[in-house]
Amino acid sequence: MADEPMYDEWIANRRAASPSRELTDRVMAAVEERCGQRESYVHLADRMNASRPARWAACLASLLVGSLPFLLVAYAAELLVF
Amino acid sequence: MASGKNSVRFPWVALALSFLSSGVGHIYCGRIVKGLFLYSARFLLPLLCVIAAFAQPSNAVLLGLILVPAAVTVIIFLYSPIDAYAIAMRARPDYELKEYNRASLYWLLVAMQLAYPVALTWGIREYAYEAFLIPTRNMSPNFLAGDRVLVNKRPFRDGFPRRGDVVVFRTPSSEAGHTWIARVIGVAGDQVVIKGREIEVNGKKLERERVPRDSIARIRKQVEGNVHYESHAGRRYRVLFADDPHDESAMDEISVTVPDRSVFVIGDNRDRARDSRHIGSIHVGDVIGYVDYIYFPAETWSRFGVYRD
Repeated sequence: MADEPMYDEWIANRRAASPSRELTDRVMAAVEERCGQRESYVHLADRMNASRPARWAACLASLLVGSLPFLLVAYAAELLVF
Repeated sequence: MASGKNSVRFPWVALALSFLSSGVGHIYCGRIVKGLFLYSARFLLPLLCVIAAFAQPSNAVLLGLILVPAAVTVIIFLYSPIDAYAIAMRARPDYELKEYNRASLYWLLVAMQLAYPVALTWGIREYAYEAFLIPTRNMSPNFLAGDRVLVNKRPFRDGFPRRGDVVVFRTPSSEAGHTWIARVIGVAGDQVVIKGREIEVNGKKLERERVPRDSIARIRKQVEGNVHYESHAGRRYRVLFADDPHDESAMDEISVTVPDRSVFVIGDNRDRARDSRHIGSIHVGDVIGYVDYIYFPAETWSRFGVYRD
């Protein structure tokens, strides 16, 4: 390609340039921002994973909610009378 | 299918998702095929109950299309969280996320599986089967207090109710709009004459013969009195009379011509039942359905299964 020498010169200059002092801060800030964009449920799962009572509460609440269809069917089948 | 991202699989999340909806915990752990299989099973098994409503009633239908699928559904509900938890425990800490590992998908699947039983239960109760708990001895000795029965609600699958059918019907509002169960004695146009314990339909007296006491030994606790076989319209069924003929007030004499689109019903516990002798003929529009099964019998499990006279 005709412009290859130009590109090689440009990339050589870029490599020769020393990074600015702010570059590290900018990269770290970008990483932090990216982490902040992770879905909130992941944060929630991380926080709950650190707490045994929270894990138990989540599982028991799920069990309760997941059992509701069976309670409904038991009620419809007259096996549960309120 | 892989997204190139890695994430640890929390066993408690797999457990919670599986409690909420069978199979979703497996999908969370990357077992999409097994997860969808378990998830679909929870959807499809209850539909067998609808097929049962269109089949000829039999014990095989009750077991194969209603009770066994119900039991399998419960087993899946119990098995799915245990298996998902075990899979998550074995998962590598650098589990590579798949395209379907999205919270929005999990919540969609959970919401569908929680809403589905509500809609399906309503649909089955409305159009296929409705369960009833029999609270009284109105239909002793054929149905006892505490029996749970399945009533087929396919409207008039064999035309209008026939003589000898056992039907569940809505009572008039004067009786607080309850549902009762009784046997059809007369259909539209029939002349029904009741003199004490004797019943004549179109001038023909219903014949009876005594049932040996030992043949009803298992349900004796709820059957106080004398049991007879009664023959009517080619069917033979048992009816009960109190030991003391003056024990309860059977009406002295009734003579009625059953109106158009109506049926005259009487409980099999003849001296104690409340029925058309008290509330008149029942419009066929108030008939809810026919009793197909005793799925949870009182007293003895020998009465479990399809109801036959």
